[in-house]
Amino acid sequence: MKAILEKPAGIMAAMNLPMNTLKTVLFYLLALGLGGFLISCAPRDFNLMLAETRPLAQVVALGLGLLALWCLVNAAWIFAQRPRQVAWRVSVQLVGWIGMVAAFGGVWVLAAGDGDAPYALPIAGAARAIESIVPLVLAIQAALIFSPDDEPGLEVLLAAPRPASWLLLERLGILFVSQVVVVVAGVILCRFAEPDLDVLLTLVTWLAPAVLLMAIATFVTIRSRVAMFGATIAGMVWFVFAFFRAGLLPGMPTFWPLNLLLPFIWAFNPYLQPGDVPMGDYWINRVIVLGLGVGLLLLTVRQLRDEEQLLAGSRSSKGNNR
Amino acid sequence: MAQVALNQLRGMILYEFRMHWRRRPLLIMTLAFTLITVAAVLIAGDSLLKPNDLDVSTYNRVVTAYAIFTTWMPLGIGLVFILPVMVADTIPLDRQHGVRDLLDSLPVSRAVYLTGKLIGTWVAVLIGVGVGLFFCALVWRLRAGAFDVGKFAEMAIFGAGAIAVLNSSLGVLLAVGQPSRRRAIVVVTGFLTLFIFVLPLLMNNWDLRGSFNNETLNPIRIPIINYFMFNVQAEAGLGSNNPALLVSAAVVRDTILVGLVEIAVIWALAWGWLRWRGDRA
Repeated sequence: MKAILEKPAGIMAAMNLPMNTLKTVLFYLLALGLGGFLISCAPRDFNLMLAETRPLAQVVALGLGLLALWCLVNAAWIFAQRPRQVAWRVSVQLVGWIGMVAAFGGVWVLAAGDGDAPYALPIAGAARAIESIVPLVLAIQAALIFSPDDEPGLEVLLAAPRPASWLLLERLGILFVSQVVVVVAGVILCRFAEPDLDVLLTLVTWLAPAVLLMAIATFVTIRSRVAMFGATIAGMVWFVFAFFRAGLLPGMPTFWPLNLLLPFIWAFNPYLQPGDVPMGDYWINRVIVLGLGVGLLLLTVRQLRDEEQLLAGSRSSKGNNR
Repeated sequence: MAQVALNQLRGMILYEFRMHWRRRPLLIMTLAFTLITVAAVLIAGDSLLKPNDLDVSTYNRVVTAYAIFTTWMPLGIGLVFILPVMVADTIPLDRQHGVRDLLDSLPVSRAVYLTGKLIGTWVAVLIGVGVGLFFCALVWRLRAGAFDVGKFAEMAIFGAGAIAVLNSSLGVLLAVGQPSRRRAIVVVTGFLTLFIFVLPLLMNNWDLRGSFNNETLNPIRIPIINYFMFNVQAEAGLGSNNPALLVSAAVVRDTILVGLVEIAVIWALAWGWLRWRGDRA
């Protein structure tokens, strides 16, 4: 039995291909095949309305909300135990001021526009300027803040008592705080541009997309080891949801096979607006988006535990021998 | 002397070509657009087969328009938004990896260095895009039957090829003075945001319809994108004949020519910057 199990590895070694590559390729092929099979089985005229998908969304929101809460409580507990372990000054220097200036400049430009005008940019206007720009800038910064291929002295860093995950969360925390400053300044600016602005809602709406896009950028960067992947994937997600939000609501005309997904997109659309769905559903969406973001951050932190994978981009030998 | 420079250039192009394929971004971009197109064809399935009540020439025109549209959508987005950022680290990586001082000590002129980097990137990107497009065309041919290969080749050369050359050059040259990959990504993303969103919005008074088709310097290369997105559809009787979206072939030609002049100017500025910095050191 052992010889049989070792044989494929021997063949792969002879072909100079790592076993993990074959496993990954097979996994993706299987997933693609399964996805294609499920899509082909589904009826072409599949359609559900918002009320029919609500119970599922409520269950998912409950699960993800609890997960997010557990993560936040854990993070706060760990931080409270080691408050002196945070190197604030270095992280602040690393984050810099360019992101803050870029985000504030973007908010300024967008706040000057009118998103309701025909053919105008859908993210323009004081009401949407902050939630459109700040999460994007935060995501790009998050992708660049810790990419294994660009991190100087990664091996030394991994040998230090402070875990890599702590370093990442510390930098993300600083990034987040820096953008909170931009949000507060941006709200004041937008209030001047539009006196009827709902200040409380503007202060809240950016949070969920910011956490999700930041988590996507970080996850993809750590997974692929290349910062530009994280930045571009987060940028694509932002582009699709920020620009085509109105077309992704339940009941909108669409084509097969997107109609299989469309009834459920509202639940995790980071740019859903309070007027798009009833207010209760809007808050379900916020919890799901926030929970997805926190869940992705948790997965990212788990990836950072494997030093060998982080250093060489390959799975830990311990894991292979198990 | 010229022979030496040509040999150096050839060596640099080959090296740069290999380096681009060893890094994963180009491979992933090529695979992504190819897979998206192939998946679209396979998902469309039997709906692509010729209905009995449709004559062959009409069916041929419709399939050609669909083939170009489904390929152009993911490819166009990749070439406009992702490619410049993807190749931004071409020159900064030399400084990040600490080999720039070594390169400066070699008898390679700055012009050869810059040209070699640029052409190497073009070759790598064009081969990737070419192979991907060939595969997409093959799948269309096998799944839907005959379509106008000439039109598809026109899109490949004057659409994908032109934007690949123009935007990869922008990505490489705009980041020429940056010391690391991170800074290169930030700078190129900043330039793209400024030229794609900020300036057109401010200049067009927030009317996106505005004069986009005349914006030959915009990295989106809107006339080229619109030509293969909407003109081909309109010719096949599929899309709307909205004059705001339709573009003449002359405007596409002008966009390519203006883009080449733009690249030449940025190349000269980058060369001047390298020379100035070299003299200071």
